[in-house]
Amino acid sequence: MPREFSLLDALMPTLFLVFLASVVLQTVLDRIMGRCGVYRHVWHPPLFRVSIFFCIFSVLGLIALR
Amino acid sequence: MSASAVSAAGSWLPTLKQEAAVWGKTEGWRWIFVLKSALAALLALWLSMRFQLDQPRLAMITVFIVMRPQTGMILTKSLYRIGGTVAGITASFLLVSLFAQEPVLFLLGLALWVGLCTGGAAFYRDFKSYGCVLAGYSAALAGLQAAPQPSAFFSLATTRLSEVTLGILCAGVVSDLIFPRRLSDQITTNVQNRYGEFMAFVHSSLSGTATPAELSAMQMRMADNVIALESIRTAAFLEDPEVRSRDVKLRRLNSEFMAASTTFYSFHQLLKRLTKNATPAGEVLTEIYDSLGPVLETTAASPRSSNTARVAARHIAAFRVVLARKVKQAKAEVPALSAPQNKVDFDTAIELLQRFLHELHGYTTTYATLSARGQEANSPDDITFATYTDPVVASLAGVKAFVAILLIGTFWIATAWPYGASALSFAAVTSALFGSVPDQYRGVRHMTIGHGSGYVVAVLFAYLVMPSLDGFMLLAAALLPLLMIGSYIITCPRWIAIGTGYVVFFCAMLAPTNPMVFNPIGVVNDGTAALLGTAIAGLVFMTLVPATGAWFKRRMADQIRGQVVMACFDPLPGLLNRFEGGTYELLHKLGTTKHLADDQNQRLVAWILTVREIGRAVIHVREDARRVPMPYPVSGLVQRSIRSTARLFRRLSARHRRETLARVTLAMNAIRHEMGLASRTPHDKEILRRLLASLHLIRTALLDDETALAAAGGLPIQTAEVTVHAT
Amino acid sequence: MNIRKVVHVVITIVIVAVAVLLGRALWNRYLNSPWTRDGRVKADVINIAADVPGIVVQVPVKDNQMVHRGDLLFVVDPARYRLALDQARARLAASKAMMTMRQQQAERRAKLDGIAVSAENREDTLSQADAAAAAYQEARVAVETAALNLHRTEVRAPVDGYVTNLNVHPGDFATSGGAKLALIDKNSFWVYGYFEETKLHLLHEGDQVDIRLMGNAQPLQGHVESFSRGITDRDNPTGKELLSDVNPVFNWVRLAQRIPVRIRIDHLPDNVHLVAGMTCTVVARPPEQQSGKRQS
Repeated sequence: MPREFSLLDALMPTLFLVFLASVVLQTVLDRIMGRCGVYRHVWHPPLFRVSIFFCIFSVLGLIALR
Repeated sequence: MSASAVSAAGSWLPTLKQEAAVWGKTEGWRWIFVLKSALAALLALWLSMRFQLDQPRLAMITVFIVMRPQTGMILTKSLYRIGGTVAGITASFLLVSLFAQEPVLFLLGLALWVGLCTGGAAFYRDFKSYGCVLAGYSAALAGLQAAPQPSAFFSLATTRLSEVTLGILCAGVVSDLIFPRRLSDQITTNVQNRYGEFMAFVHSSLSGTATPAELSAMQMRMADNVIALESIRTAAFLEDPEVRSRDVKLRRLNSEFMAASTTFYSFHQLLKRLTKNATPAGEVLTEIYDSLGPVLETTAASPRSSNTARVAARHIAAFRVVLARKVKQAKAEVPALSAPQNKVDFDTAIELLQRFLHELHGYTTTYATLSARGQEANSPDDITFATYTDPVVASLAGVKAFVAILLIGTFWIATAWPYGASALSFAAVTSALFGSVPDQYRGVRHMTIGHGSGYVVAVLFAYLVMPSLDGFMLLAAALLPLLMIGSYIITCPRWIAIGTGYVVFFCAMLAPTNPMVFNPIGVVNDGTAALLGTAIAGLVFMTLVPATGAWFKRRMADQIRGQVVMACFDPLPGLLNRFEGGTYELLHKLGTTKHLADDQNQRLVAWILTVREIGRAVIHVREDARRVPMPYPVSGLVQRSIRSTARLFRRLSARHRRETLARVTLAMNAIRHEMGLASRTPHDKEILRRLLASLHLIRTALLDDETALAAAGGLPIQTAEVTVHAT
Repeated sequence: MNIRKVVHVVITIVIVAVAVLLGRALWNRYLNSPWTRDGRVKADVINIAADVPGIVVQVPVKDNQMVHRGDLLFVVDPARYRLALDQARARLAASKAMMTMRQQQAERRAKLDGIAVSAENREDTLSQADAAAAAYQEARVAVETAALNLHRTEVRAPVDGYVTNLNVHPGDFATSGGAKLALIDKNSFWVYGYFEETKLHLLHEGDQVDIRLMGNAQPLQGHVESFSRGITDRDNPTGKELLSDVNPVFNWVRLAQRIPVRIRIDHLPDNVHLVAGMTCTVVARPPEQQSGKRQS
């Protein structure tokens, strides 16, 4: 996978795209987990959410930069 | 001596704990906020240096502007900030691409855009307003920076966006991770406080212990509370999935609260009128009314838990049954109540009381089930909170910004001032901000003070302290106290403009870059120009039709009275909420400027209260008139009395007031006749009775010579002129 | 209740730990792996200048044209040089005549006895004959030089390559040594990858790399040829009197500088048009792929 891509002729790092994708994924996941009440079973929900985001972002990023 | 020492030692630890808890609730949060914002700013500074962005100060400034004690607020504000920045950059892109070679047209276009955005900022409330502010000033900043070098525009724009985004991310993550303060918690506190406050309000007006001034202050506080909850609710929507599931309930709670408090106010006014001169209806009512006190007492004592609310709801329901019995009993015991005048007074009061109890019951029940989980399947559509702002006032703010920008722009072009761009940018920034503050005098003064102090501190820091620092850690350590001072000032709501001005100007003038560029002459020239820009924009805002002038008060009064006209003519669906929301908004707006001209403000508040009473009654009349079939003459009379009310509130005069009274009385007589007809079903009769009660309420409000209406309408009306004709 | 709380804490901490580990992996992959966005295609650029001055009379090549070694690039007006050659030839003939005369004189005098010719006279004529021979030699070299100059009026391509920035037209005056066009050596293309100094230790000579040209999806293959051994110290330019001029301002955050690494392109597909100065991304292959490549 290329490390950068061209958006309307502006060259951007692929990680930016990955970041956006993770934001979307995180939002969807957040909704689902909020509805299922997952957050009531964790100790520090914000920390948990940020960690989940980092997991998603890192996994996608590692896949993209393979 | 020793004994007391021992006891002191024994109670030392718990006292300390208690103190710590109190501190944590009040001062502690402020310090945590201060630390969090300073930390986020330094993180943003480091990251933007690490990523080699060329203006790390922008990321820092963003952190301070976006930082709020609650994360949800930051997220929402950030969303609007990014949106506003994108819009502003797009606008400046257009301007640069069209008029890069034409300074006059460019500045004209820029002034127009900033004016437009300032108008928008004044028109909307909260975050939309903030987005407009951003759109205005980022267009000015980006446009002025890019105008001399259009080819660099794209990289400037992307860097700008990355810096803003970086600042937002830092603020959001830091504030969410370190001692997060959730909006949902705040909503709970807000709702609880309001419930308790309202119960206390009802209770103290029932017992008659509170003075009118206190009651008015309570009203004002509740209005602020309603608006606050509304803005938090919208903000929390982004923060927490749990809040989203409670959203419908919260909206319902707000609308039920507003309805109940208006009804209560109407009831209280009516009772005051009836008890002023000893009437039989008044005496009976006072008695009934006194028995309501104990019912609410339990809730007033411990309003917090949903359990007591449930108990209170049960009590209220029980009292409604008791009330019906008591009314029957009173009617049988006191023959004077059957006299037509007394009967209609009594019926109206009981009707209002019934309605109030019904609404209070609903409110209490919703409150009790708030913490319970579960979606409400049927969400009524009309529970939306409509806001109302005067478009004329908003566009005036826009015109002021336009004039300010044009003034500086003209000066710039005429004198070829090398630092015109910085003066212009700061004029754009501050005028966009001034447009959105309720009290422009104070806003201008505070912003100028903040900018001035930030400037001085930045210059001192840059040339006395900075040269002896080497490395980021030392820089951060030296910056920390100075940033903390600023954000501590921000935590005081009164001085928020000073704090923001200080921090923003401090960061802007310090302009830490990697490697540092020291240019004392440039900084002094730049800073002076920027201060001048702020001052000129401030002067324009203060002198050109100031927001506190008589003209504004007159417009405000017109707007307040216009609420009744709206109640008379607007389409019915959702009208009640629109009306209540608008009235609360106006009350809140008066509250934000109440330290200015107090006597005038007091009169406006009195107007709002009268308008609330009459407008509400008009809406009820319109709703009920649609529910029951009436022959034309009767419905025509009702329509005419509504039209007449609208006319009275459009143009105040004693003649209109007399006319309205006559029309309302005529309509009442016709309805009373209609009620007597045998062909009417009990259901119809019930509605007609309610209709009569609402009309009577309008009538008594019109007759009352203590309201704002009487004060403005000129001569007091002789009650003898219009009497109720018994049929 | 308490156990549940512990479970909650444990769940959170586990997720945080996973996030930290994954984040570190990504950070390493992105920031500590040998790759750079800052690569440039380079090539040997030969500045073509006329060896002899004169008016340009003919430019048979076009801009950006591919030429082979020895192809004619442009011609300086040869007339003057032809004349110069004729002149030189005439001088040669004259000096030859003079030489013949002197040699004959010397031979003649040598045959005469000491009474007719003094020894001094004899030696003189012999020296004169030697000088005339030398003058003849000189005239011959002058002829060759004139011929060379005439030959050099035709400027030819020294290598296979592409004509670039053709800045010469018939009628121009070409000074000797003034570059009139650039010729890019067709076979000399290489890539300079500017790697951060922190990543340098991850690269070795001979490492396989992928080169991705901007706007070109298909990566090129290459390998690390050599490392640059010096870059300018930007904080210390040489000042007046050869003394150093150190920047008094310190960096708050120290950023890595970039060092050029020379990369040889192993194979160039036909459909790829390399242009010197193109931007490219250079990514070194991970070690496992490296070794596989080397074994094969």
